[in-house]
Amino acid sequence: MILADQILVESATKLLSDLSTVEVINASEKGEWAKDLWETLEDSGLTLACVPEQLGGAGASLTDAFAIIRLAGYFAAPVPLADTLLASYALAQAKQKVPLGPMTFIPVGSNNQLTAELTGDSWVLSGQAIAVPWARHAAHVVARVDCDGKPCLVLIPRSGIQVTEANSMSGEPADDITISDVSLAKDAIIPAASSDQALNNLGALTRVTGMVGSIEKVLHQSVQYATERVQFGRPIAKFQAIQQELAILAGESAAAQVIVDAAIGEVESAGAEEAGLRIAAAKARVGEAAGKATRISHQVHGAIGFTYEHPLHHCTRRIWAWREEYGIESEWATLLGKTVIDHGPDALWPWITA
Amino acid sequence: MASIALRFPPSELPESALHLRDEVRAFVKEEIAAGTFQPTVDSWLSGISPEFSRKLGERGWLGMSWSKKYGGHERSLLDRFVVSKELLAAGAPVGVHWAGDRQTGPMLETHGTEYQKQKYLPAMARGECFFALGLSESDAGSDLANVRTRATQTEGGWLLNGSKIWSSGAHHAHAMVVLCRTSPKDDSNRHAGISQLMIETDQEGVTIRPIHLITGVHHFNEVVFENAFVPDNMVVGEIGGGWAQVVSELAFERSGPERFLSTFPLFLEFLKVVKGTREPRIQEMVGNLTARYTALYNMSLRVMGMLAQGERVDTEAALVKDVGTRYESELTEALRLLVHERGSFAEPTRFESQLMKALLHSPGFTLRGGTNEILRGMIARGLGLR
Repeated sequence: MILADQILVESATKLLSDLSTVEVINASEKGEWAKDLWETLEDSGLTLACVPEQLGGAGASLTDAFAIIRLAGYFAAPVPLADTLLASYALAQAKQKVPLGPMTFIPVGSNNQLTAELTGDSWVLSGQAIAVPWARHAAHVVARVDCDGKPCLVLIPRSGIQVTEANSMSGEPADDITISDVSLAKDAIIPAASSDQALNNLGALTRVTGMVGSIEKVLHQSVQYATERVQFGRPIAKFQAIQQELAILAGESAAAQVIVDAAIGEVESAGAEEAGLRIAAAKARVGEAAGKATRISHQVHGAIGFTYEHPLHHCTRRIWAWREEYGIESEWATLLGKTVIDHGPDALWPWITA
Repeated sequence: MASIALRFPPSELPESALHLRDEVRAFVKEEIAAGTFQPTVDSWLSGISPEFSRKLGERGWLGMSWSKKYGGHERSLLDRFVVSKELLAAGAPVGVHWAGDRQTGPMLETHGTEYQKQKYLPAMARGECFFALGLSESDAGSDLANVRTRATQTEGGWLLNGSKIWSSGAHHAHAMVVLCRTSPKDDSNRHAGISQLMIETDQEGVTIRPIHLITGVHHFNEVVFENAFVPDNMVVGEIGGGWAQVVSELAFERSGPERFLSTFPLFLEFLKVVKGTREPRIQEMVGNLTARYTALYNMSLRVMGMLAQGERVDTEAALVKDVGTRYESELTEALRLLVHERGSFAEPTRFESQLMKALLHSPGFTLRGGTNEILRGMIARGLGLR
């Protein structure tokens, strides 16, 4: 198993803890771009962590990049680290130089109605895509579009898209975009080197990884709150009912953490496409943990945690939002279950313990 | 940020363990093919086969981590983990040696005298000597420090009086280590004055009475001691030091893969029943259940990795046991709703008989080895809540 680089993890922790503050997160939800946060992350090489150096990145491992995504989930960092990871991964796999700046990624799927037509000498891009994370703040959009029947990536500058702003449950941008006859330079059309399945798998993995970070955070917040909040003359942490619930939350946090690590490990060892079932297991299990973690953390926090004023919602809303992205857990569970049933009982234990 | 003591650092099985895993899988396959055993749920309680235990002993799969000097094999706890998880997943009959191999042996190796180690450990590692636990009493369940069985000093040893309950498999066991008071209870220090004495089950003053489970089957026992003589050379560790010894033993009791695999053989039977199904509802549930096993396996592996490094894992082990044992029952509840037909009770299918057994055994899952409510209290302490 590849372990995340400790120095990188420590510096990312410090940076996010200093700059992803309650004020910054709330301002971001009001539409303000978290410029300082992004630029500091970028200057530290954390936005393109796993892109090879010769393509413009930091040359770290995918495990490192996911460690950063998890921390971003913990600190509810209002910047498109996960989507930049996806876009940059797709470009780097296709041996393309990766530009700096925030990016977002549009995979194939019903939300992606973009088409490219060869008109004379150049490709012209048109169509819509909905619920595109962070589109309004992205310097570039990377979209999977078929060109002449071949799977391609297109690198679209922000200037080429019209954005209808909307936010997901998390309060983070999830914009609808329209592209009207934008001519692209020849080199902006790149034959895709990763399969759609690989990119979709990786997309799901970024979401569950962020959720692991956010679940960890709501556990910490809940423990902290329970030890500070006094009712009936003592901290509510002293009530067994509260202790029992928080122990369950701790179990969910641990389960989510280990299954996501297992999926990341398999992506490292076998590749993003081959790791699909382990990622499916992670999506299913973390989805379950998400439901319990949000319920318990809000219950322990009482009414104050139900208000905008208290920062608990920065993570609980992100958990709820990310759970919906790149396939809900029932979809992934069905995929996994179908394979388990097809392969029969003898193959199950070897797979679980692989 | 609140201080959180719980941690699950990554752990990976070494190459040698993977090789061992394949050996155990091949062995299990052969044994099932030869009809030695039929896979069953809760096999570490109800799978009784001294012969099978001896076969494991011959292969070096008992006493794996113990010193070679005492018949062990000096392999890592991760190797032992591999053998355990494979046998449990296969529903193999490991009940008769389970408690001794898991916790009494390691405890004896740490705290026992040379005489005790020479006498018992090699026989345990061969699968010829079995131990039952002597912990719970009628007034000492979750509150183990409340034991009342007492030993009073006499010429050359101790006289043991009192009784132990829920001693699984004591009627198959040759000996047990009895947690008892060797000095009166001190309310200011409840853990003082507790000792561990070893006793053989066939000796004078020891009576074993069956206690039947709700299945009607005899696994539990009450073991009564009436002036049972324990010579000085059968005192384990320090007189008065029994509490610390038993607490370290409990880390082994709680951390193993038996805390999430008791009903795994039912899942395998279920997969045979639904072979080829295209029902999305079943596919989705199988996916969810598989995902939960995958998480639990990885949690269990990580706890074992820490234990193998000599770290304290009390809280983490409690956490895996809480999540894992609740899941053992939840799996059963989920599967029963996915198979509609119910047949003859005279000739139940393998799935039906295992389903009934899993349900009837399910109350035990979250009780044995410390009730989940007590475990969650330990987790809460680890979280800094108390």
